[in-house]
Amino acid sequence: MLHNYLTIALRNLLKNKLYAAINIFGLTVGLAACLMILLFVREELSFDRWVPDAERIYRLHTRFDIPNRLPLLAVAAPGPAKPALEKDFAEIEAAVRLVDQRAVVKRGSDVFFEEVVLADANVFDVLSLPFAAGERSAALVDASSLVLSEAMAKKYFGDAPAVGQVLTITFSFGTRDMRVTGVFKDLPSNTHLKLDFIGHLIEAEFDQRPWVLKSWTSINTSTYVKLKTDADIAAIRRAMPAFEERHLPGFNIGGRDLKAADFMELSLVALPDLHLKSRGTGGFKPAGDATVVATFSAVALLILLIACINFTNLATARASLRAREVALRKVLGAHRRQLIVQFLGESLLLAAIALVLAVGVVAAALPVYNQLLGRELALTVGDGGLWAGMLGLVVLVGVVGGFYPALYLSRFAPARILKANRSSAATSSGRLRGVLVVVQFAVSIGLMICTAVVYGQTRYLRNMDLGFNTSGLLTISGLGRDAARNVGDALRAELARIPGVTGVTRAGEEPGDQDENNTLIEIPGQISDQPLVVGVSSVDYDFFSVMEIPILAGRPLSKDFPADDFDGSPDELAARNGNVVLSRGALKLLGLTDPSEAVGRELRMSVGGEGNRKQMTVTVVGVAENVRYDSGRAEIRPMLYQVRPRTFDYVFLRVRNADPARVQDEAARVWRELVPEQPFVADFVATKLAAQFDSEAARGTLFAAFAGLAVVIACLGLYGLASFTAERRTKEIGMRKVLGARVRDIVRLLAWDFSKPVLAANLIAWPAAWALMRDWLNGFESRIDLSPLLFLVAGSLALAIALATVAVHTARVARANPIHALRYE
Amino acid sequence: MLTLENLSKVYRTDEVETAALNAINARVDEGEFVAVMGPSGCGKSTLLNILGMLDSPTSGAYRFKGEDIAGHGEAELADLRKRHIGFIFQSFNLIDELTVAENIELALLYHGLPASERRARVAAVMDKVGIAHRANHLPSQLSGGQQQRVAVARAVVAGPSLILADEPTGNLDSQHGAEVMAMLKALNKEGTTIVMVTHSASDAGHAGRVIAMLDGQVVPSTHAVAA
Repeated sequence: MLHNYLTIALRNLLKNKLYAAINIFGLTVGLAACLMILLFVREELSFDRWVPDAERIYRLHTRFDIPNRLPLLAVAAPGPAKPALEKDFAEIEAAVRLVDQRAVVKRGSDVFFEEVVLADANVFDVLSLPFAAGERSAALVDASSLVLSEAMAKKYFGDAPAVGQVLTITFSFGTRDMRVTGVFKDLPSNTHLKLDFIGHLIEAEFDQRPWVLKSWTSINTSTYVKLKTDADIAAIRRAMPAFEERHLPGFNIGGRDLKAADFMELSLVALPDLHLKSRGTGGFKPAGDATVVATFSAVALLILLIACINFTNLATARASLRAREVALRKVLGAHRRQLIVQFLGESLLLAAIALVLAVGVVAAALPVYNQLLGRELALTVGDGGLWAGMLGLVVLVGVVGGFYPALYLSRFAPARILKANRSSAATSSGRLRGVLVVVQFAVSIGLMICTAVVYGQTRYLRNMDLGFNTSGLLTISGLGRDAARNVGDALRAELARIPGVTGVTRAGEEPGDQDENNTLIEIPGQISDQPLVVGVSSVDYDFFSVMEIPILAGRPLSKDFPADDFDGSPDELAARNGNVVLSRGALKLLGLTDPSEAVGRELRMSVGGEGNRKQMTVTVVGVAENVRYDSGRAEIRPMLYQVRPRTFDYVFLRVRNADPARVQDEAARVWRELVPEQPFVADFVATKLAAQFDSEAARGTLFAAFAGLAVVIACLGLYGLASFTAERRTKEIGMRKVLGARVRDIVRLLAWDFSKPVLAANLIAWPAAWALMRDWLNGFESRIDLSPLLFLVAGSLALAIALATVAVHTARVARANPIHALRYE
Repeated sequence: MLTLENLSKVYRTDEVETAALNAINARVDEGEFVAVMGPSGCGKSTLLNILGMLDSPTSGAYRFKGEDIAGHGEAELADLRKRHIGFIFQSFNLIDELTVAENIELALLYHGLPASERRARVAAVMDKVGIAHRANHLPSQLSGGQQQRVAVARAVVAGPSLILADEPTGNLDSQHGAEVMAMLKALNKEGTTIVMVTHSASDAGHAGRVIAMLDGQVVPSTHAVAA
């Protein structure tokens, strides 16, 4: 029986090669797209689940609800939270803080910048990373202990055993000779962690930087807790508000008592949720996006749906060709159920053939795909989940695509078909086919519109005016370290002498930096009902002219005014007045709109941190245009600029009329001469900002590729249907021609028939795409408009593609000699 | 074996009612060879379809081996068909994608027989109708007479007690037609009941009895002819 089914299925495929090719190609492409998306989605959903005890490990996140702006979400936590949590919650088995430090690692005469994570000694009790060498339980014993990844062990020690080797590492607080005590296995790509080096966190070393470990309102640690097996996370979460009340400090600003607990919220997020279900700055690497996962999954299903519709449509359209077989089988005693099984089996067979081909396509496409996504997805033979998924896909496609044709075909009444010499099977499935074609084109048009909007918005963000000139702007980082700071002025002078450098300035932040430094201000004599929070940026005197940020009123900060210099301790600053420049966006905090009104205003501003918070009076001497240091997704922050040389960490060079690469080489030479103990790290701002959009651009490209595939598959189906319809209508068209229709009339008739479903599809696609894209665009502070033109273009394009697809058949049928058409009976 | 009582078949469209069969009473006994004759549109094929359970009457009773099949479900009818009835069509109705042997085997497919037995029975019946040398050819490679021999083989391979033949010689030249009629006669001799619709008086001459039909009714002058 099976043999007979298989024989007839295969012979039918061979006999109708166009039909078979369209179905198999469509299903192959659909399944390949689906498999690739599934691989990605599965990896996204698998993040950090591999960490032992992942289900009872949580990270502490912080949310600041700052008036007049969107909340600041951070995946970091205040330093004192860890000991307080351990003390207050008996349910906690262990807790650990990680402090990420950019450190200079020296090996012989080579120096490298590396991210070294300093962790409490029990870090491996919480995050039990598998070790390749050394003893995990005794890895972090003292300040000289160093654990590193296999990749780093290879980088620094080659094939020699790493354990026991010594590296000299310079941190912001000093230099340590560190001995390797352990090597952990390289982390898989599905983790939020990025760990190269792990050292021991010694609290005393941060005494000079109390905000790292001692401040409740500064967030600089990644804090993880592992709960005991029987702990109730819900109970702990319920107790968090009381915990915040107990520990978060209060302070007095301008006679008003403020409590940090009123605008800060701490929360515990489960390890498996970190990648997709938490947002915020301060993570080891960019988190995933649940929306992207959902979108890609939806696209995968839609592509598969389109391929299934092809299958259904072509199978029912060609049903009459199988009618005699169905009738005969019934005459010979086949039950309807047996026929349904047979036809479902055929669609499963087709799906299985397509899957085999799809696996080949995926294997070939994976390298490019991985490169675009920055992942290491793989098809592996031993991957049980993948096999199960593929089997599921075959069944899904076979059943979804084949169910209706199976029902339809098995319904034929044999008496009528066998009597009348083949042909003339009822064509009641025509309306369903029409509906399904509309669905296909609605999906295709919708995907086209979405692709265009995503592309347009990404392009808009990428080319958005950031408020400063990014071209030819080179930033060198690491100025804040002792070795560089000590020669800061000489460095500045030498860099300025490089030919092609037209300006040099320094600052505490660089474009693209996600960190925020905010402070509270108040307006003397004016009690505000909410604290006024402003971003603080430390800049050098000629910052505005080098960055080309327009001054809207007043003057830029200048060396000529001693009060423009903010150097000094909080006590010294509190004792004197200082001058600042505000951004235009900060004016609204002052209740002003005209920049010139702000000049000369006095503000009170907090300086120093907890325990040593002071108030100083500052005078606004100028107002600068807003700048964006981040992507257009965030809003423009109100900023206050001050000259505070000890916090400078970046040098900016403006390069003009010179080869940028040569200037960078020259700058590197100057740097190595003056700061040999520290690596030269420089980037062009434009390149760096563009890189921020790389992942979004890659996703956009993928999205466009998948949308394109959907259109191709839908058109293939239409091509098949057109070829069938043309055959079926040969006689009708012959009659029309006999009765005087011209080729032109016939073409118009057929073109209109094929246009109708596409036009109808627009009616579904437009509102759906409009609603989806409006929601998506609303997630951006700056966004493009949804132009109706876009919708018209997508609709017309689909129509044009559809007509081009059916043109061949239409022309052939319209031109055919009616004698041939009418001779058939 | 077959009894029809007041059997009618009416085709209805929105406006028109056409009575294809009008209160027919007839019986066919075990071992008979009956020819049904009449002009085009007299209801011969409708009658044959009802006898073959491919169509159901609008009213009246049809007893097959004493069993009234009214109210039988599609699956039960399919079972009766496959156990007892073989069909031969004017247009052969072979499946183009299957070889001669496979076309014949199709009739055994739904009987739950092991493949080896199916093959043996197909081989035997191909010998019997003289088509064994063409076992692996496709229908398109055969002459009309050969195709109808395959169709006969397919009709008898499952060993039916009743064969319904719808103008079995209609598409054949006289020599091939005679061959097919000889085969049917031989089958009838072996005990198979045969009901054959035909236009051809010479074919009807092979039958033991003729049922003449006109406008959906059996013409009363029905008589037995000598074999």
